Amino acid sequence: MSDADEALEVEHESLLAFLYLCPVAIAQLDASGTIEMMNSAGARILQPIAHGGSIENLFDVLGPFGAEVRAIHDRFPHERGSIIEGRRVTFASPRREGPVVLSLTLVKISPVRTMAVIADETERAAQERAAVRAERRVRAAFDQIRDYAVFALDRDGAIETWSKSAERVFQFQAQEVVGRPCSTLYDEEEPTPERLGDLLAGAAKNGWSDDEGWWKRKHEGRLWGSSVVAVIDDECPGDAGFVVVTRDITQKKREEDDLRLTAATDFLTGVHNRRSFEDAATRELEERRQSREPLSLVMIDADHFKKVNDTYGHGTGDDVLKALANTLKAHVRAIDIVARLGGEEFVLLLPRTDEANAFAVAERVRTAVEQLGVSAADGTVVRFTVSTGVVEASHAAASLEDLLHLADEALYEAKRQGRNRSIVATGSATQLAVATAS
Amino acid sequence: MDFAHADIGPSLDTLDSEALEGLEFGVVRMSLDGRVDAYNGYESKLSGLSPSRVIGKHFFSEVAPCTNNVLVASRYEEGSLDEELPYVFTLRMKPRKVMLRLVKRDGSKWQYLLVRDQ
Repeated sequence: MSDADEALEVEHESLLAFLYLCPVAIAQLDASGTIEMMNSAGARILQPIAHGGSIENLFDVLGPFGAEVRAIHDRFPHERGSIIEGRRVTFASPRREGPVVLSLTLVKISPVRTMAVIADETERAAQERAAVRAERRVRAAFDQIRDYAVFALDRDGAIETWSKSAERVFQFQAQEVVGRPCSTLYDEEEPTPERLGDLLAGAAKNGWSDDEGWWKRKHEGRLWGSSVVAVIDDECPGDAGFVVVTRDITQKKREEDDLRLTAATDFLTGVHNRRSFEDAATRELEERRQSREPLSLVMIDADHFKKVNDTYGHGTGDDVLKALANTLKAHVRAIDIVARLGGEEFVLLLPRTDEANAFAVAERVRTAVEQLGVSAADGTVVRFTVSTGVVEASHAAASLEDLLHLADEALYEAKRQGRNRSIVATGSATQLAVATAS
Repeated sequence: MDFAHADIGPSLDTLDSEALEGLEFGVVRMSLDGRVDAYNGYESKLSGLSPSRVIGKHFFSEVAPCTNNVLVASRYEEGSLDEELPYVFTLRMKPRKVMLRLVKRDGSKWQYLLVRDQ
């Protein structure tokens, strides 16, 4: 053998080895589908589905699918070109667990020659099926659960997917909310616009975060939701986002609120009791230290109340206190607090209100009470008046005790001056300012 | 010795590469981890691969991946084995029906894949 022949021989052998090792099946077919040439991957892939063990004609090996492919092949109107591109087909295999999934590509080279490429995609198909199955399960769970709403947000907090469970809880349809910021679902009275940002930042940092608050509901008022937000970490950063699970606990919240209200309410008049007032006032004072917003108290006492009790009886006395409490409630804002400190003594807690405005409130209350008439048991219309003491929390160190003491002194001064009047406490903001100036 | 010789394993173990050349069927002798030790002329002619190309390589993954499946390669994971199996090889790019005999026995340091034209 010449050197050239030998070199050719080696090359030929390399080529054979190359084709033996190729992991994808390649076959050359004649016009009838008979395999003229095929690499060894072809035998490996086709053997398990070729029940008779014979691999002569590709279309025969592929069974009913092969018959369909043969028809497509025979009908192909052109002399050359792509006939089938990556068509997937599933075969039941007696020797393997589960079905075999192959993909087939046929390219016609000439009227008598077609190239076939066959790949075993069993593994890939199984992965895809598992993914689809997992998604179906999760969706079924999301859709079926009651009382919980499950939805997903993109990383900026816009609603990305909206499940049936979310539709049920919030009563909004997917097309009404998808793409909009999650915060548009918050109840309008929700005080903190940072709520969503805080929630997502917390989740991004710790993997999850939770929150309770009011949400909008399309038809039936609002709902109190307890939510957990979890991060969806994705290898592709563009796909990262959040899953939110919100549970509607409005009923539980109402019951709790009722309970809290009972504990915080003065049983006779329905306004806050002393303890509830002290909690609220302490909180407001704390807040004032940060915000430097003004804060005032107005202490109110019914004049000659003992005489009303003695003359008309305790029942009428109680009616007078209720009428006074209602008048106070009618003259304050939602953020203000009306409380009964005991006996015939009431107090108003007025956040973001300076002394002058507090005095104006006190005067409006006082003149309104002058107009009141309460019917006694004997038919007499009982009229009464109030005296008030006004104080503004004038410096950061003011304690609630100090403020109550100052208001009390002012109230005493009003009584001393003849009752049915309002007096601003000495040492209150304005008077301190005056004192400093002079 | 012919392909169907009963209890062929011990006889094969006694044959050196030269003696394997005289056989009228293909012999692939492998270590228990699948490395090719001997590849006789009959087998070489069938596949078109010379012994020097395949000796020392892992048979099921580097020489004949078409046998790397549950029908052939996986069988060698069992203990002893002596089984005939009709099979299709694509030798020199043509599908060809062959008969395989898978041989492995306790106490031997070799395992064999024998090939005969059907």
